[in-house]
Amino acid sequence: MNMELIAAGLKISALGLGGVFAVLILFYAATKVMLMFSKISAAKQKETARR
Amino acid sequence: MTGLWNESLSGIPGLTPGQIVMFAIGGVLIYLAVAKKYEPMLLLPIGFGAVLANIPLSSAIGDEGFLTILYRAGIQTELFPVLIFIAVGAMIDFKPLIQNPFMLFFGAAAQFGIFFTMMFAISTGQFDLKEAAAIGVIGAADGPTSIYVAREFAPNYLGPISVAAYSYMSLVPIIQPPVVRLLTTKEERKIRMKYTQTEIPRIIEILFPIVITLIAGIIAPMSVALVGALMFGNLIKVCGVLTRLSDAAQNELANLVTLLLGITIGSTMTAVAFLNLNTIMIIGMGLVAFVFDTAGGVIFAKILNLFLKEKVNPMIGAAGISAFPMSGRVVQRMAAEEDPTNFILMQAMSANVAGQLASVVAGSLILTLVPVVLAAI
Repeated sequence: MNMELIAAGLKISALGLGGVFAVLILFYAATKVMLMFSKISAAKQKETARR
Repeated sequence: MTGLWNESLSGIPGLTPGQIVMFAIGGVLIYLAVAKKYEPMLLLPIGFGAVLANIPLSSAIGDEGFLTILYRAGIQTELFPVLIFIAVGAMIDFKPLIQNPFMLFFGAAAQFGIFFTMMFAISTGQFDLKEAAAIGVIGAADGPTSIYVAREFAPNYLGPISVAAYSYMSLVPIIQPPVVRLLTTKEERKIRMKYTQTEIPRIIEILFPIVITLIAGIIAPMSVALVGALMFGNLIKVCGVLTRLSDAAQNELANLVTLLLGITIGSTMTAVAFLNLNTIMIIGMGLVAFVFDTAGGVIFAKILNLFLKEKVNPMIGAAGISAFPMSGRVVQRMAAEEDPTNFILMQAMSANVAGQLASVVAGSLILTLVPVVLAAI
């Protein structure tokens, strides 16, 4: 068994799976921010309509 | 007259036992497509492509063969998988995921099988790092991504990798339930999840594909082709002003490229390239990838439950694989088997869509990381 290859594979696995989580955390944060802005904007529109 | 006979029957002396076996394999794929309805849109063209490629002196392959021309134009250039992604993007509805972005994490966890299978392939000693990575990506449960990475890292195994990816995707309803049952208790499978339907403003639906493309592209530029095509397809669907283009992407484009993609992949399955121990190992490791994807998702959900106040049904983790919509449906069916009034389809579908995003990201990261790590060895 080629230990150098195994070590390289483990490195790719750690960085790869970690990377997938990191990118999806950013997707999550971006979606939350977009939802937050849309809520604020909807609330403002409601307020304006009530006035 | 003798010359005419010799010319007409020139294929007979060239027929090898390997080619006869390949006819049988092509026949099995066509049978599975027609009789069992396992991914018929792909397995039938792949099966017939394999038959065409193995006829002795076949004019369909070779320098001027139409299948070789299609291979060079559509697979070597990576055009077909990218076009398929435009079609897939136009078919996906991201609204359930935008309503419940937490489900993104299940998509990430269910990519575990990719990396486990890559390590498994390396440990066999039969594959180099690039080939092992391409085999691992079968676990993305996403045909175009598997083809894209295989074309880059293991073009010699494109046939078996594609066949494994599409075959196991169609077998998700058979593969996932035993793994889920093994890892969860009856009580866990009965867990109900609250679902509140919220209105998603159209502006967010439009911004979502653009923002996701920017984030993924800036972090992993290799992902731009796949994520960009997927999100372009989605953008033309949700923008509301390109109905004709969206319909064309979902129907004409999807059908045409699928048709050409399948038969072109089949044409790579020549007896010399396909009939060897490595092919059998790749088909076997495809199953390992799907099993460990499912296990990774379920175990992640169980770990989350240790910290969450409102528990999630751990079966949702299994829906984090990219096989859409089969995986989401399997999870809902299993939940209904335990408690017919338990309805977790929307959450399962959200996780399933998240899996589509995560699989593309995983494939792109592998394309980026492998050359970097190899250069450092």
